[in-house]
Amino acid sequence: MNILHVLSGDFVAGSETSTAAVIEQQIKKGHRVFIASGKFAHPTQARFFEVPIYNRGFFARVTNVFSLIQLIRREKIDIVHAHSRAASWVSHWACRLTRTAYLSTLHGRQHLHFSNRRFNVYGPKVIAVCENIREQMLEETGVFKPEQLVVIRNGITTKT
Amino acid sequence: MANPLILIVGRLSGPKNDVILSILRKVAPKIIQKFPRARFTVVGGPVSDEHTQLEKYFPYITFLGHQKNLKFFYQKATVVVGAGRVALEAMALNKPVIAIGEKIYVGPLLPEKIELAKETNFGDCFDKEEFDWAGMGKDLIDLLQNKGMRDKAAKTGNQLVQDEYDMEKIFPRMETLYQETLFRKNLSGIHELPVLMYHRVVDKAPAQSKYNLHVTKENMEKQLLFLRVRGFETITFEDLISQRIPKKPVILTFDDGYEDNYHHLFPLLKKYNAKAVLYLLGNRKYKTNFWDVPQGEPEAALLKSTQIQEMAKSGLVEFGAHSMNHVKLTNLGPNEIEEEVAGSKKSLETFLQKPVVSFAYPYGFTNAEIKKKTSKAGYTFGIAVNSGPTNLAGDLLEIRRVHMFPHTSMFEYFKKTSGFYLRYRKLLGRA
Repeated sequence: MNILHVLSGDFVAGSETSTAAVIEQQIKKGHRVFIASGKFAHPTQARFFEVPIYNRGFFARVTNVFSLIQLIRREKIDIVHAHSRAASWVSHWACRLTRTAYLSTLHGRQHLHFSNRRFNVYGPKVIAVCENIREQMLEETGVFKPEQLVVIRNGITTKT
Repeated sequence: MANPLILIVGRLSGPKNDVILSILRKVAPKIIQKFPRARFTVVGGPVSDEHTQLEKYFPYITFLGHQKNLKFFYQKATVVVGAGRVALEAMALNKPVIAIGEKIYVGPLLPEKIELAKETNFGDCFDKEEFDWAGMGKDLIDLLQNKGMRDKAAKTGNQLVQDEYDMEKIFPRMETLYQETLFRKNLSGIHELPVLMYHRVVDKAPAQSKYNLHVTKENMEKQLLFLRVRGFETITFEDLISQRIPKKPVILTFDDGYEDNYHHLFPLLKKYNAKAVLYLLGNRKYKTNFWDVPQGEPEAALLKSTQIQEMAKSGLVEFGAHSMNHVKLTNLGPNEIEEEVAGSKKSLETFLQKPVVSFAYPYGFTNAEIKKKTSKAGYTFGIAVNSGPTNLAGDLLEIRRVHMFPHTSMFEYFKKTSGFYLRYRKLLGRA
């Protein structure tokens, strides 16, 4: 599977560490993995493409959508996995325009506003890292059915 | 306790920074009163003037900024304070953890706090802010005073990580979700995906065949050429869950695993770079089609192990399971069904050294119980014959196929691969 992870990359956060752990497993399993992000501090064998996802200006977002479209087509990406609100917005449009499978992980509670309360930009399946985030999305937005939101906790390699 | 070290790990910006500063201002002084030699070490950045000022006035506080080798600091700590990933890493190293995130103070990870810790990702996710600074001070003093309590917290935390956060358990769930998402996307624009059912591919049609289970290699080649000219691309069931599928997909399935598939079909697959799915019996001792011979079908040899390995290695042939003994599963009891379904998966996976994702019900006979056992055995797809919805995604455990016969004409082949054949037959009342 050719997998593209999309992150904001504005600062080093737990979400980046968790994503790096998932990427490590995916590479071990033989998948081709790519990262599109402002930056990615963790050492990784995945191919990194610098895309300023953290830039939320309208024109920057449109440019980011086209950068992702180019990347999806060139690297024959099978599935896109977004890891932040900004990443989900950009990935949603890039995947719609390229008919690519897409899902998001919610690493924290979402700041909800008019659009993301009414339109699902997170994909048909969404991973919440804990129950509280899942409940927030079910209760405060009108766009999810319970089966679309799956709690998958952050994994950690326990064997040292 | 001589020199207790309280390690706080977290980002020194945004709400995390506010929480860390509150701990240092509201909780740390109480701890120092009780344990004057205690030290508070903060790992994380960016370290600003505000932090260096604190460090200057309170010598028991140290800011170390970003550190690469966190394991070293966890190991030196008496108690670790943090949320999310910090809590997980410390618990994995058998350290007692006080969970506090940017939203809520959870407390020492003792059994009674585990559910709250899980639900809130160790304090980072909650609908309002809830910080009990006095409670935190008391908990920290209790932990520093009581080694038994520290050991209990360390043990509880470590067990939690092993049970619910171990990557080896988490990752397969994520893989399944990826496959499901990709699969739904692949089929989102397709109502009918032609799944064609063949058995034997012969050089010359047998003189007497009761069930007409063959196509000649000439006809097979014509059909493969037809698919190429019409822009079809052959895929397998595994492709459906592991990659983006082409615009005009078709799945060719061959039941029973006859040796003539190796001699007559395999060269054609190589010539046309086409893929096929072959269904084998899990019981590898069978050499011929013993189940059909008593009914008057000519005896035919089954594939040899070396032939299967060669076909699997080519990447053009995917193998699925077809039970252990080619029996009608609807005539069996629950345990026997399980042996046939799960046993054939296990046997073939051991033989092929790769996952087997589909199971073709012998004679196409299935029911709710058999489908349940097929799913339980770990198959993604259950392959039927004349039953199941016309839409492939409608029931993955009862995928309807289209029969291919020796006398199938090219016009019939066109209809069978048209993408509306099953619905057309349904309209005629024949499906």
